[in-house]
Amino acid sequence: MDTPTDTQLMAALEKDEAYRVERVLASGEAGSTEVVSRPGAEHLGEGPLVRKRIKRDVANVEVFSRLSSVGGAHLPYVVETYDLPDQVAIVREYVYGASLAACVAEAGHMGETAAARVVADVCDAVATIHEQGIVHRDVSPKNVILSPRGAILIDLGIARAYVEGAQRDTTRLGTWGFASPEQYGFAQTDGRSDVYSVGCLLGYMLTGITPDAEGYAAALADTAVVRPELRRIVEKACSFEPSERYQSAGALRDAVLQAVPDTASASDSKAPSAKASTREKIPRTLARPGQLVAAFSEVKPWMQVLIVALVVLGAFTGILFGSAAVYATNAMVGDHPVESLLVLLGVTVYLVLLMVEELPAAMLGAGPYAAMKYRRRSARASLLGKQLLLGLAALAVFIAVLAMCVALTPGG
Amino acid sequence: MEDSWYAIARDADLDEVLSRAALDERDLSAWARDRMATAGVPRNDAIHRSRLNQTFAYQILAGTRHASRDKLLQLAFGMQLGIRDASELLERGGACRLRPDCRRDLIVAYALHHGMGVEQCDDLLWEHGERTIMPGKSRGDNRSQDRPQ
Repeated sequence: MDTPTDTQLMAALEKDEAYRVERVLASGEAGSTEVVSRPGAEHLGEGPLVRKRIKRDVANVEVFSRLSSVGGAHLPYVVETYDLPDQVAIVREYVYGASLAACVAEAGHMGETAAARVVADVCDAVATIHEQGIVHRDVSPKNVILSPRGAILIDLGIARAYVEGAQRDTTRLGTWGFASPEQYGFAQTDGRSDVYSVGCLLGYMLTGITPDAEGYAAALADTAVVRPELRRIVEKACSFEPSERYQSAGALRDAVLQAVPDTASASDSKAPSAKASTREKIPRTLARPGQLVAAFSEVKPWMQVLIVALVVLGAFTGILFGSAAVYATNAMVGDHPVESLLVLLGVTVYLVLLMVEELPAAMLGAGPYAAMKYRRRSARASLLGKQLLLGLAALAVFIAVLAMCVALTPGG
Repeated sequence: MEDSWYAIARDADLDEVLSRAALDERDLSAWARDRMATAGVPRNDAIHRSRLNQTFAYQILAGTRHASRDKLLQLAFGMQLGIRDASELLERGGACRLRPDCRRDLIVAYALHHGMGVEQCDDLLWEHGERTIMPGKSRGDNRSQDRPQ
């Protein structure tokens, strides 16, 4: 492997120094992973990025040079790659969402449809990199992120280029339980090694147990947990002999989609609901108090003051309208007091929720707005608008129902 | 830092000395990285100013190559260190500190303290009949690139 010339080194160092490290996600002997940002990025609407450094003797530099051109809906966008004498670095977008490992650890095994969607997305990603002659070699739950645009396969850290005729790989890494047997030195890894890992991923999602743990085989064999058809797919994909597996990621994907027909097609790009959260359309839910409090502590003081003022105004409005409702009903005794009270209370609830929850959530970037935290303000504004209209629509329906009740009530 | 020696000389308990000591066992690479991050000095600037071969300088900072004392001094000039920090760098790089009883070291310390560049320091050493830091400079060629024309 040629080391860069001095000018290339200085250029690479300049690129390296241009990023500001926000926090270190992981650091080990093979390299490190950091969340970084470029100065002035906020003005451009650019969010945080992830920089992964890998030691030269572990990484495959040839693969790295191709990574910036590998793109797809289920792969992270690569900003740039550069190499230094002792390491290579790749800077990619920060993918929002929880890892598959975290989701399954928290929520347990996934349903068939959700698991099939994830497998379809991951197979798409794997197929894309296989077209470039790259084998991922670390398809595992921690490297699959469930994001608003579907499952994203990250971390081509130990990816290698497939070399015809090579006896075996020079490095044996991967995640225990998901790495194919050939990654432990029996033969060279190729695309079918990734197929093995995706098969393990499917088994893990359906049982909630990692393949190397006790109980995995029993859970997989249990027809109440995993349908026999799906079990057969997992077993075929995870055959010891590469020639007995699905010969491509596409073939595995087709088999899974055939077995689970309810799965939306891959072009739909819908994320599974293993954790009731991120889909392509941001959910129209309210931000939870915990999320608001967490986000509150992270913003600047002037924003905190504004939020507090808004909440106080909301509380005051609630009291005002609530009292008004009571007075109004007293004044309208004999003339549908209950309905009038309910209408006023409905308006009160709408305004209070707006000021105490919705507007602070939008300003803080909490709850459903969290996924938009680093996008342009217009995205947040449009979501806020949609939420307001939804609330108004609900209120209008409520009032309409009450009006019907009034109309249908005989007499006054 | 001297407190530990003082404590040992006063027959303090070893475990107590160990528990109270402010340990710092960073190697040269880690120390240099922290120092440059604190001072806001980018690595490429430090490497350029040191006038070392760039790849070699990078490898010293990465901890993958060892350097001689003079090369470490060049790095100290590149990082624009003071006398104490330069001594620290030398020690962590496996060489001995700047010594106030050594004529050459005194000149180097003077140059470091006054923020001179490597070439200016070499000019000063040459004028005082001492061996230069950078190799291969013959008399008459010792012109600092940093000096105004």
